[in-house]
Amino acid sequence: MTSVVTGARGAIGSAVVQLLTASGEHVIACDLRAAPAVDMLEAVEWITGSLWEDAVQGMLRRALGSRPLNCVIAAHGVDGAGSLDELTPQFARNVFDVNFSTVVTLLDLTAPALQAGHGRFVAISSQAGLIGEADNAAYCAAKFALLGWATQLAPAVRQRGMSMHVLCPGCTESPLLYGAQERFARSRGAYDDAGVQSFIAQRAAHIPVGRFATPKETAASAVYLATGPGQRPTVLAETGGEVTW
Amino acid sequence: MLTDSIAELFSSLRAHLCTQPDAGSPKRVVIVVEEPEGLSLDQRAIRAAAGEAARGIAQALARERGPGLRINVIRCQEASADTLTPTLEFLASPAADFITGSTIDLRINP
Repeated sequence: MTSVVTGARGAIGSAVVQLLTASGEHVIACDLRAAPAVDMLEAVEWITGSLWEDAVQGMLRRALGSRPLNCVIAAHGVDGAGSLDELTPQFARNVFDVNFSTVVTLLDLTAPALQAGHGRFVAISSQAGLIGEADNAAYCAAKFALLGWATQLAPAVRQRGMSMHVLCPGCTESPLLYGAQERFARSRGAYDDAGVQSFIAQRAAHIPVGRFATPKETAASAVYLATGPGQRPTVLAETGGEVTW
Repeated sequence: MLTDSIAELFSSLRAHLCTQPDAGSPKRVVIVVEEPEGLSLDQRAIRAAAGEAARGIAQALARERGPGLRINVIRCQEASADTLTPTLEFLASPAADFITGSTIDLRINP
């Protein structure tokens, strides 16, 4: 069967691709960045570019053809950390478009193939979609929107033979996480790398399980939703107990 | 009657979490709340209260006991092996080690 994974070169997305291909899936992988030069699997078909671009949407439609889809995992996203003072309209628009609007586009593009395959759509939101975070309003807006959109659509999607799921991971080791944490640290007065590292260590200690998630763990949660028990659950929080649902 | 069930749940949790020695790896608890279809409104309300109570317990204990515990809730309409096995297997696996204090709602019509 065939699956689509976006953000496929990101920490979580690439781990999702590995898990799916290991289970025998053929994966159509999308990312702004080109396919990795090494370790490219035959089972992976690569599309480079933004889902905003007509050309990329066309490439995805052609790649899908008439194939039914087993699952779509929207693992793309962009860091949106910044205090209100820093949220220029352009920055806020980009954060919302990438983290929310393109997911809507992705469902529109893949719904016919998902319906044909009785497939599952998994949007990777965040614990920032469950609880507001200081200095992260733009990101929270997009991730809250994703949760509201998906949970509202879920019953209708199920009636069409598909299912809709939202994964809300907590802190997952990735460049996106560390970039956001560094910006949080600087906004709270950390003036050198040691200060940033201390902030990050305190951040991890605040999580009940005492550490960040690995990308493989978060990918496994997404794959559980995409291939696991059925049409439910709609929402899964994977946060180490920091934010519960 | 719900009070009795909650008291019994706490008793089981204490027996499992407070008296048995740590084995090195986190202890794992899954609370399953069955909320069948076809109940009266009053019965549904009590089942909903049970589901929320379980969520409260899991969220509180996940924070209280930290790294030594993984505790989650499954809400379902029928607590059958077919319904539960994929999720229980996932929660029992190392891949789910970052999931605690969560509720996995398997009800089709919550």
